[in-house]
Amino acid sequence: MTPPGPLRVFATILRPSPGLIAAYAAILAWAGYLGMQSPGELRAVYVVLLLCQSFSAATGFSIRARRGHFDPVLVPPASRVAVGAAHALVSMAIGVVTWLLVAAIETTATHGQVPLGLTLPSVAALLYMSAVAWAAALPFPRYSSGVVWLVVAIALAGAGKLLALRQAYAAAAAEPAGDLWSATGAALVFPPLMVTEPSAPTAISALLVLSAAIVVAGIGVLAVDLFDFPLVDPS
Amino acid sequence: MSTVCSLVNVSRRYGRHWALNSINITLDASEIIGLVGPNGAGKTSLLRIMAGLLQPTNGDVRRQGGEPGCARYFAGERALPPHVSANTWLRLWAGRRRDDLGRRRIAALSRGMRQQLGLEATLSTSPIHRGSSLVLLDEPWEGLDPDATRWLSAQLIEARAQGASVMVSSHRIHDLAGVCDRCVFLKRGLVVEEVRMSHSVAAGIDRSAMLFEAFDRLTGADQGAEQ
Repeated sequence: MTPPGPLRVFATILRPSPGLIAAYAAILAWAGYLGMQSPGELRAVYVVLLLCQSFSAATGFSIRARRGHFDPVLVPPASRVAVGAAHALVSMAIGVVTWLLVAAIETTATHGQVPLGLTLPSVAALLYMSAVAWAAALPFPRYSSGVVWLVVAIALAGAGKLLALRQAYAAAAAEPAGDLWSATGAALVFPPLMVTEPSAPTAISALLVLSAAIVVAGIGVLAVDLFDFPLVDPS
Repeated sequence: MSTVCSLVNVSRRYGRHWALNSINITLDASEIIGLVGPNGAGKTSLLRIMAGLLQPTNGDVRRQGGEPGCARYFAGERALPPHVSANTWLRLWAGRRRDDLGRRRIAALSRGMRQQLGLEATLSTSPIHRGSSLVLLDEPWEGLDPDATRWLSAQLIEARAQGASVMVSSHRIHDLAGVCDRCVFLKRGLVVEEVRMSHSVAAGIDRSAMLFEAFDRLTGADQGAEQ
């Protein structure tokens, strides 16, 4: 029998936990309810989705790889770059699919308007969040980057920095010659700003975040390519 | 006989510890090679380097045609993802299911059943119809019952008949003796002896006895040194 490709193998091994599937189902139900009652409030759903994605995209790599779970796809002639890309795609899939479903609900609820979830800043926020969550969790256990991101968000909020970031982002949107780099920096530190702030600073800022997402994902794939796999006893 | 894979002066270091030291081994097509040695001798590291999962610190792994390809490697039942359904795994790699496994997850199977599942998956996907194929199995007989042991030995012999080069690490000398064409003895990362099974026929010696003698020489040297 011809060996299955890495996408199929990772889709089997990295299947989301029942808890995560339940969380996404609840988000979809919430989006459906808001779509019927007050479509303008769907913004909150996207923010929660970003939080969920920071957990679900963090599938972890090296711990399972060292246990041998990925051996069948890592043995040559498989390309490690293809393996890394497949791992990234599968890890991000459930969050991205749910995001698209919420965008579809929003489109239906707003009678064909362009949904918030498909605007350039929102897409950039989703992809950046997904890429960072995936890449940062590569050496660590599942969900690790979600936990870290949550702690960072709480710390930023506790220290009053979240407001400063929001102001930096909003200021760039308010003025035509607003500080592009401050806005981009704020979005990179706290991507939900790109969804919560109704007006985007500039398309360039969103494109920079999108480029950052591609760079981060590329670094992750490169890490998989260069990784060495001594076996460890899982017991 | 064509060479499928050769290791030239392969060494591997973990921190300050050299797990393998200047290993030179050649694997030919249609051949089963046993890899024997005490725990910590470097067997798993050697197999993982041949599989392309580990990079040697020094030396080269040369595959037929200069390109890696067609290797199948099984590290043992612990390398199976425990949360995946056993039949899902089997369907993925072997394209079939087993009724006796039901809907059980891999973690819910006995050790022997997990081992057999992993071997079935690995050997089903081996492109053993191609002379260049390389099958690498780490302790494959561990946990298998007598029926499964016979099944595995028959699978290895069939793989050899179809041109595959098979390398098997094991502590089960009797099982190795039943299938191997030669055995490489490793100790502290060094190849200390190589036994060709054809010599046992020529000398009229039992195959298992020949391997046990070699193993005794391997470990006896240690005991002598301790005394």
